[in-house]
Amino acid sequence: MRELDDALDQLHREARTSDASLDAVRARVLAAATAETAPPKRSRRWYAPVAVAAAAALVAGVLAVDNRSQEQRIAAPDATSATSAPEVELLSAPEYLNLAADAITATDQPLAPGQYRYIATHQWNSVGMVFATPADQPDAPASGYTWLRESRHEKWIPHDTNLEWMERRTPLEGLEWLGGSMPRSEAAEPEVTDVDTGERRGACGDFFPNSLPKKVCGDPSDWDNPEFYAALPRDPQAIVRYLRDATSHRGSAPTTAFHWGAEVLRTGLMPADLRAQWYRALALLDGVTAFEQGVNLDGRSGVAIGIDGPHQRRELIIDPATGDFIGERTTAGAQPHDPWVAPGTVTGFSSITTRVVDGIGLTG
Amino acid sequence: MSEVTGTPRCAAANRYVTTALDEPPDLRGPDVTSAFAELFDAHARQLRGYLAGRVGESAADDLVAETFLVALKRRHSYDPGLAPVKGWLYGIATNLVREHVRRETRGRRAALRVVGRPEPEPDHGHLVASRVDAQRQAAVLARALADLRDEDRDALLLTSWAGLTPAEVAAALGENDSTVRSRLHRVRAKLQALLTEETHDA
Repeated sequence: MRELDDALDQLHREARTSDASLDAVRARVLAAATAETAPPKRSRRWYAPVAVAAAAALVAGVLAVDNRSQEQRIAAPDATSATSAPEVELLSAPEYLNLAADAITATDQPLAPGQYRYIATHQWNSVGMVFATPADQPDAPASGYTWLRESRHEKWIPHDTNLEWMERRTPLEGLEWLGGSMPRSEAAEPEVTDVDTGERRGACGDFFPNSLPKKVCGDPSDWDNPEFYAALPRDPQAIVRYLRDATSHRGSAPTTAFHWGAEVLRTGLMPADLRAQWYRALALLDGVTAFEQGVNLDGRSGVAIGIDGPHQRRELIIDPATGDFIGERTTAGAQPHDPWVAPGTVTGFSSITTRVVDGIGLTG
Repeated sequence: MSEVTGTPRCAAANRYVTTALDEPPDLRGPDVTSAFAELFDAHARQLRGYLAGRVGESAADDLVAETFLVALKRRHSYDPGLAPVKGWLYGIATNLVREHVRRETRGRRAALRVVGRPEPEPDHGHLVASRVDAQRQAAVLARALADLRDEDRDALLLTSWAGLTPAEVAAALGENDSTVRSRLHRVRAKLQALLTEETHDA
């Protein structure tokens, strides 16, 4: 192989060994680094820079519900700092989740007859193609590609759930290339299929009446049904047991239980009293971490809390000051499910908004 | 911040250079600027060599900067326990190379650009025989590299030009060690066969 090494060594050698100055590049990088406010690490907690007034309000809200070790929770703004941004400590994940749980004091607004609970999900999902490995080359690397596609799903749930519901699925313009074993230009763009679009109505949320198993009104195992939430336990330990049981067919690992917990929250149907206990339960799972503050989804900002797995990191975005569930996010881990997706790439996220509206199809 | 100033010069881009730092700077620590100054000074020169080989000198500086800016943005998610910093950095750089190439042009023309255009036919009248052979060999190699799949080309050039170990390549590309080793073995054997064939033909 000597010949190959020599030939590689000679190829573009002049460009590769050029000692052109890197000073300008260095200056650019260090200017960007300086612009980042330093987050000093204190034991397992981080300080994250937060420069906006909203964040200060958030801290005030936090302090109002939890005054323990106040001086540990907020660092004095540094008057001499170049950015003069106050530093707000990023708490541990269980602290955030418990604060968020404490902050949920309001009960859900009850629906009057004729009113609807409106749930809007603005989402970016991974879609793509994985090609089968040829039978005679079982060790061949996987091939395929992955896109990130934007869409909106809206749902109207009536006061009496036995009445007609409506949902609307709208494909949006956003499309991003996350990678592939082939160039983007050779990968087919995802198609909009029948189920990606359109408006459907049905009593009890039965939008696809021909699908099996048949949807049953009031089925307590159906996440679309208020009965499902009514039947769940309220004790955090019991909720953890539920999450483990529900995921036992997949091993009940904390990452799996957390994922399940996030998926249930994503429906936007969880009543406030259960949501508070749900947060407390998630705080009990091993490895739950607060990863990032100030994550902005559709103009609402919160803390990203989740669990790292080898293939992906799953996060909830919650507002600890109000307990609001803002949305969720999935990021590729060190060994992404699709090998052509770079570790750290966001592979999906959604923001969920719920409100009470006065008629089917109304959004505000 | 700057006890560390300027950029150390080294005749990098040699294929056997390995500079995995024993103690990488704490990228998640409080002094972001110092940490990145240290990271830059340890890796930028060699990284530029690698990128200049892949996208040409004119685009290399931008991609060096981009690599460190992406690293800066992602520093909180970098886990030294999972990947050596060098592998992490070259993983970012290699993704940027792919993006750059695809943005620049499309399809096969882009693939050629990755390793530069094939050399023009040598002028026999003005060159000694060995120089002719070297040029022809370079053209054959450049063409063969352009025809490789992305992951094969990345693995080969990360070891050859960037001096990464197979384990660092695996970390950079988010794959496992043995996949990278067998891929390297296969690609190197294929290219060596091509070069041998070319020498015999000549």
